[in-house]
Amino acid sequence: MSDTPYMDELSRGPWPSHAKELKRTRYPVEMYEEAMKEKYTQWGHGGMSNVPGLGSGAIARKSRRPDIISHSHLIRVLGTPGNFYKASTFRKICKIADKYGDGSLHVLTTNYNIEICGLMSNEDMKGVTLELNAMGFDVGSAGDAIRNIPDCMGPALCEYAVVDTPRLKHFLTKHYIDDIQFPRFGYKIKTKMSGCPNECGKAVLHGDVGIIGVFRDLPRVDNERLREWAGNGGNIALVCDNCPADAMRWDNRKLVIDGDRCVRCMYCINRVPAIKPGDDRGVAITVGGKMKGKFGPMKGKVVFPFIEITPPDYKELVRAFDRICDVFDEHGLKKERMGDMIQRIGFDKYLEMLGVEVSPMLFSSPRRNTFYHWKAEELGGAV
Amino acid sequence: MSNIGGVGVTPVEENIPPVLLKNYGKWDTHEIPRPGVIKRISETGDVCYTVRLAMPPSRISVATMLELCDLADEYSGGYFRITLRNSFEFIDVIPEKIDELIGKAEAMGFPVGGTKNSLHNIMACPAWIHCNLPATDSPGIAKALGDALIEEFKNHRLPSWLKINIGACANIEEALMADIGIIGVHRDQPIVIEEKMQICERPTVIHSCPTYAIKPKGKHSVTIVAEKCIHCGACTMHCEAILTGDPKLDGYAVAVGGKASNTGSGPDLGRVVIPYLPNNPPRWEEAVNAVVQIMDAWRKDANPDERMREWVNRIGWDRFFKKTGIMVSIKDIDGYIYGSEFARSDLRFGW
Amino acid sequence: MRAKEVIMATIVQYCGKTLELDEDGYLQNIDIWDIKVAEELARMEGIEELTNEHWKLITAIRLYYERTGMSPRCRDILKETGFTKKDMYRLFPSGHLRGAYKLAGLPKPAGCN
Repeated sequence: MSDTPYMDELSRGPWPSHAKELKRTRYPVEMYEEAMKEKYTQWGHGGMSNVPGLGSGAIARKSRRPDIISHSHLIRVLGTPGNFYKASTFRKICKIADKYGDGSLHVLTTNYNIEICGLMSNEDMKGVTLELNAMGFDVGSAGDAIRNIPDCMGPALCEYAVVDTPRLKHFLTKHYIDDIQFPRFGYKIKTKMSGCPNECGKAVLHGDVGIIGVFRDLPRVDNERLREWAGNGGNIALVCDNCPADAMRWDNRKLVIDGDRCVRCMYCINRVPAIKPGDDRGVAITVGGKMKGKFGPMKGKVVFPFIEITPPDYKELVRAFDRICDVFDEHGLKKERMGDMIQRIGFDKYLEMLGVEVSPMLFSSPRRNTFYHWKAEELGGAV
Repeated sequence: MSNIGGVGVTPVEENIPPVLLKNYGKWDTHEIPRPGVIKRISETGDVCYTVRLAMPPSRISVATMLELCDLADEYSGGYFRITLRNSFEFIDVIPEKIDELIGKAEAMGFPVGGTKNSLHNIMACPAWIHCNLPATDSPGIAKALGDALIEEFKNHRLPSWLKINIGACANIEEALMADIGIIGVHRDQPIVIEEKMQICERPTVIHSCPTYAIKPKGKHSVTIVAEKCIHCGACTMHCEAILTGDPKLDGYAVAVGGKASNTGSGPDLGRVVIPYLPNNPPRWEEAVNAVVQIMDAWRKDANPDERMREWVNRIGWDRFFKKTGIMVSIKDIDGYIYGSEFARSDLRFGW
Repeated sequence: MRAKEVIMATIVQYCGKTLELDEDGYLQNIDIWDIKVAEELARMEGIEELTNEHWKLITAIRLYYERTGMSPRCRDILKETGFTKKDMYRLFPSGHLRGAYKLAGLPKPAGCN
């Protein structure tokens, strides 16, 4: 009879097993086994720990079971642009994890970092960070700072990409590295990026700030290629039928997309190789997507419907991002997520604080009440 | 001391294979010759094959990662990628060696699949492995679900893709963003350890409560009004001296219909359809049954190319409950802040 | 191994006062804080001498805490004292939450810090 019956059971079966993986490391398996037996986590509240000299990057975790292990901290490594890795590079990360930690990694976390787990002291954390720095990697993504800025693979491997997200990630991480590593806000800011409205990065749903590639003109149609595709068995009628905006007309020779109906949702582009995103490209910025916090799960809200992307300094985007951070810094309470803050102060007031130009792109429908505040100066001095 | 950090991330060029660099932004189309293998074709005529593996939920050992690195060295020039659903993807695999690679990966215990109309990799947070607040064990559930649904992962036989995310407490963003999500729920009232309360910041704890159930008591402590508690866990997050209640009462809820893509009806968060199921390690039969029940109803009824949410939008939530056979309870009706938005104001019933 | 230093709350006798510290060196009985206590905490934190700059920050933090019952956000303090974020980390190498607030005798911040 083995002393870890639950983990043994979880090691069986065709799906890759975390229990089997944990047994290959120096992770204290009793902690997990006990948790399953008791149906209760054996880990306790955070505690304090940090990389000496840095404000973020480390997560501290104490144990409720000092008889097994007293504590076990972890370090979050910012992912590479597009999350591409070279085996030789990743081996070095593995070596660091093995040298300082308990030999287990979390690849990737829900915010797309690599976690090096099982660190025991601040000195170890410093060692990890210095070794990572030497190979061009960095730590972050903890504390009330700008967290990791994950991106999709973008034009590196994807035909739909509207903007160059990997390069944008590289730029933003470098540009905001101070705010990533030295927390200053009331709560965290999670930023997510998607290269196109297909939203693999889920920027609207769980980004405090979401940056999504969009295009303003209509999808480009290559009619010759489309005829060839339809001739080879492509079902263009089905695509026309399924278009959510009913904007496509096909007369067996030519596809016409109705500009008054098209919502740029990418459906036809995903299905038909002869249709490509338009050329007038930029990003939209949404704010306030989240799950935890006072007002529960929320979707993000568009605040900048279109911003042009201008490498190498991305001036407009940086200005918008700075503005969002500043408003959050100024008005956010302690431990209040951006979505909650907007809910508390009102979306209209928030937009005023941001100083965005009001456009019909900012809402899906105008309000249905008349409960707005008129300022004295708006009354033309009548008061 | 200031020479630590401040590095940022590696440049884009450093970790991507030459064929990607050459065809950066020139990719034109892709094909899926078999489940788990994607063939990307560039305008220049270059092709790039990728092979996708499921990953163990949450934790992986250094030893296994090194073995995967060795496979990458042998078959894909040493390049790989972790996708946004945490699958492992070999990039630019030598075409003749794909079968060999798949054979080796499967022998190592990594199933190949998760593309197109199949179950995609299951995402999970660490939960009982390394977290202080979970109500359930997401890696355990993920593993149990993976074992039960492995054939859906390896084959393209669902109407559209199926994404399953698991979060062990109400803090994990992922759970409401997948076609089927599992969210840990606490049901007992949080416990206040009064003698430790002075190490907490009382104002932060009090204003963190969405229902104003936390009231000051004495000089440092607080009390929690039991009837008002909605078990969101906000206070336990912000204060060490408040603990989640009796773990025997914890469990998880099942949500359906989260979706990020702008196609169809656009992005939306999932809706909770099963308010509570009990924790039952190590095989989590209730979770597996619930997911299979929902998946089967969807598979039977959905049009080709119709994701879970589009299917529900077409048939309506009333028919969803009828077709899946899930019991409705008062807990399905939203009484929280936006509750009235979800109440029915039309008479377009789906009897 | 290192278990002792992290689990046990320590009790330090200092200038006739009893400092109860938790495993991370935070003051448990926060009501007894005074200048001498701050100096002792600084010594334990590895800061050799508290300069005027240190004191400016600590006083600002302490006053804010006594006024509101909450530890201030980084921004509130920087605005009040005119320091930059980098100064804060220069003066208190472990940051505002773990360094400055600890010395000012504030409660330990919770959450994923």
